Amino acid sequence: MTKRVAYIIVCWNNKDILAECIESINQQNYKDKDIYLIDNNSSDGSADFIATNYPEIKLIRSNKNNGFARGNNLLIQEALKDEKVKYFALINSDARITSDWTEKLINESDKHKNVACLQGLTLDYFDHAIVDSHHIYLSVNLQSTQYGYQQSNSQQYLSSCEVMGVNAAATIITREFIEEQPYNKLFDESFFMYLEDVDVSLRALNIGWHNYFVAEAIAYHIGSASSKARSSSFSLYYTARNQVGLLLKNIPVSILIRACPSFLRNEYNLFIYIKSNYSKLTVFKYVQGRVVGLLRTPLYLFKRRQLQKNTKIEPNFFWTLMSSKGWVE
Amino acid sequence: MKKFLKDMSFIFFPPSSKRGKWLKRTAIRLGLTKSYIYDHHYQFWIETSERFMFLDPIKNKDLKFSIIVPAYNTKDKYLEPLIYSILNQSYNNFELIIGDASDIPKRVNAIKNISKRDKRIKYVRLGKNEGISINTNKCLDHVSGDWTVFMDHDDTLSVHALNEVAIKIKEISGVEILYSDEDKLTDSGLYRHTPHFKPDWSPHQYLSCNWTSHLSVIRTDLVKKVKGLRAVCDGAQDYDLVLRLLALPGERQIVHIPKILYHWRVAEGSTADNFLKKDYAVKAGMKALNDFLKAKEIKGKAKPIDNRPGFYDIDFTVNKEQQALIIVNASKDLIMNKTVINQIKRSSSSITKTIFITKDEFDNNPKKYLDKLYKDDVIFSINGNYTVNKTKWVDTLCGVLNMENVRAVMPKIIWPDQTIKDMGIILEAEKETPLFKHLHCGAGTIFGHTEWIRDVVRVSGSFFAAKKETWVNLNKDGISQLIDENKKYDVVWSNIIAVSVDKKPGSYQGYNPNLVTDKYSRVPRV
Repeated sequence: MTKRVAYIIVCWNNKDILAECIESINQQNYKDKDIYLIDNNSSDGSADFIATNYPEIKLIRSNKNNGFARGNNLLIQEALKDEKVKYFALINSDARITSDWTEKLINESDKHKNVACLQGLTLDYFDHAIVDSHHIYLSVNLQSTQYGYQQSNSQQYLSSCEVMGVNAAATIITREFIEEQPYNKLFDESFFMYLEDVDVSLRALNIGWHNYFVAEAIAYHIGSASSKARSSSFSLYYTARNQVGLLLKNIPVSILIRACPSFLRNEYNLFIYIKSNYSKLTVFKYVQGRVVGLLRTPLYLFKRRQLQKNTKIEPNFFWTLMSSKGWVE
Repeated sequence: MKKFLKDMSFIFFPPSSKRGKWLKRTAIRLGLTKSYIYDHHYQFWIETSERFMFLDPIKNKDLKFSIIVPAYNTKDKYLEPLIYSILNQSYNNFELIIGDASDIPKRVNAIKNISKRDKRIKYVRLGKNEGISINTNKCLDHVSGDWTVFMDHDDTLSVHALNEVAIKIKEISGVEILYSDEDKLTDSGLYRHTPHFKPDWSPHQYLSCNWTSHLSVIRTDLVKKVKGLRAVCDGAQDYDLVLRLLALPGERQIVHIPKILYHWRVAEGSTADNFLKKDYAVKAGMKALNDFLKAKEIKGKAKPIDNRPGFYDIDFTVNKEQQALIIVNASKDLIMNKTVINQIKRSSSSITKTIFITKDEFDNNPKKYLDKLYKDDVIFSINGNYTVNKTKWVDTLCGVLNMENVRAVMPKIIWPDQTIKDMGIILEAEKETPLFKHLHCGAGTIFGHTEWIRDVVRVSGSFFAAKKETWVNLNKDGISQLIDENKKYDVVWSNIIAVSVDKKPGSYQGYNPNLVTDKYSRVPRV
């Protein structure tokens, strides 16, 4: 029985970038595939663009902007109705994949048991000698970081291994993992966008499942790699807000206490850095994000209670992962 | 207010006392002062000019470099930057060998896990910690590259380092040893400070201090020929290695890369912080030097200098058959400066004959004096009034000239207010400039310490010495030949200091005008 792959793309005013993404998917070696796309009420006509040029794509038109998390959840619900689909490939509209990407990731996932997420090496779209992300980890300062960001590409010397977390720019997630989630909802919809992938990775760790990195599979990502987008008040607000929720939902209490002093020191340094280099608006948005995140604690604690029933992880293992920057022994 | 507090702190918390050090430590922790010497010129240079000096990565990556790092209980904050700086090199073809001799199992696990990140890292587990030399020698067995790079476990390399070295090796054929400029890094690794811009290869400067250890790249054939490092010289093992290579027959091709490629971290308890923290290092350096002098058949003994740990001086034993001729160009106030001449006369020396004459006597009848001398005898020419700080200066300068590759030698010449008057002439951007002029006698600069022995392009004519065969061919007013076909060096032997009796031009009443700014001096202000 063949295992079908469902490619899941979320689009919002991305008409100029979409064509290259879809063509890179169409050129994959792995033939058994379906493409699902959702258009979050975009105003530049990307829905019509897809409908006319790529009619085989299963398109969902939405009347409102659902955000990245809810958009992905809607598509996954749609794709789960097809029983042949075993893998869900989440690809951003600004990411492109090489032709053997799915093949290699699926081969790696067949070797192991309890596989949650897989990632190849994502490189920077403009300069292939620079890495965008190798994997994602939560640092000792409780900061979610991409390992390998803006470092040099030494792909020939890397080997596939198990990692802490995975970057959702270009990943494959298995069906069994999604069916373990409550209500089959992968992402947390209260995170409008940013940091849902870290949430998923931590949830996988808590259950005792594994995330893998594959060295031979390459993808390219434009990303919010320019510093302008990173420092914009929009993204800062959401990252600040969602990080609080992430920590409250997934992390054992003993680690929160242990990491508290370094977390506070890092917060202080970050605040001073933002205040000295960016405008007052960005500072305000950062603080507002943290405050709103704290105000949402009842919601996150409720979700934590739901998730904690299945936890099998030891806090020490978590701490070793954090201190070793996401590399599992 | 700030200045007042600073001045008061000098009185109640004197800097070199326990209280003073406590104050400095707490001020750094509170963020009131910096733990390093902040030079805004250097910080500006890093951000603007340095990045344009590095060359583009070459395409032909044939040469393989082996980087050896002997590790012992390295902390995470030192290990991560080391690995990052090596894995992000623009030149891919290298291997990193970590020789781990740590006791603590947590550290062992951390280093082992880091070595799994990349296929180019080889992890060598050493059972016992037998000292740094034996640990690196065991790593040498696993080396498979043409060139070895020695590194410490808490330092970092510049990202362009191996690329620069590879380009230089391909430019110049027959290179055997390379070294580059270096930099210091604070303990946290956030700030760079106090660079050291080194000169091109100066063999006599190497006798006074080990200044080429970071970054040093040596061909593996040579390292294995000399059988690696010696355990006897732990603490100065890299000094010993290069000295033994220099003692081999034949000349070594040593090349300098004038870019900052190595960052030396000032970790607590390391030699970058305070050389005295490793007392055995001083003795090890002396042993290395003494063995080198024996191998080269130079009759002398190394000794350390009192206030300067890490700098060495050589006591030469004299060839008793040698003669010395001292020609003094006395000034018109000969009667007033008779003390100077008497001091030169009384300078006791074991050389049998020191003939002391004035320039007029010499010019009248040069042949009379020159015929009595043999080829190897030394002629001093002194133009001016100087007092020398050491009694046996004639012996030492003759001993220096007995070394093979020395053409002429001069002492360091200073004014009475301890600023340098003359230390030879060097080429700076293809222009002749006097070396370290107007600096303080014992100052440390970004070009090295002024108390080191220096190899210069030309020795100045005011106070120098040469053997008869060379002295005769030189211009009496100063040495005019720039390039020597026999590859001989002009040496400034700065362990001997000649103080000129004349006042420094621009000084008032013979005292240091800089003292006017010192608030606690007893000199009346002008």
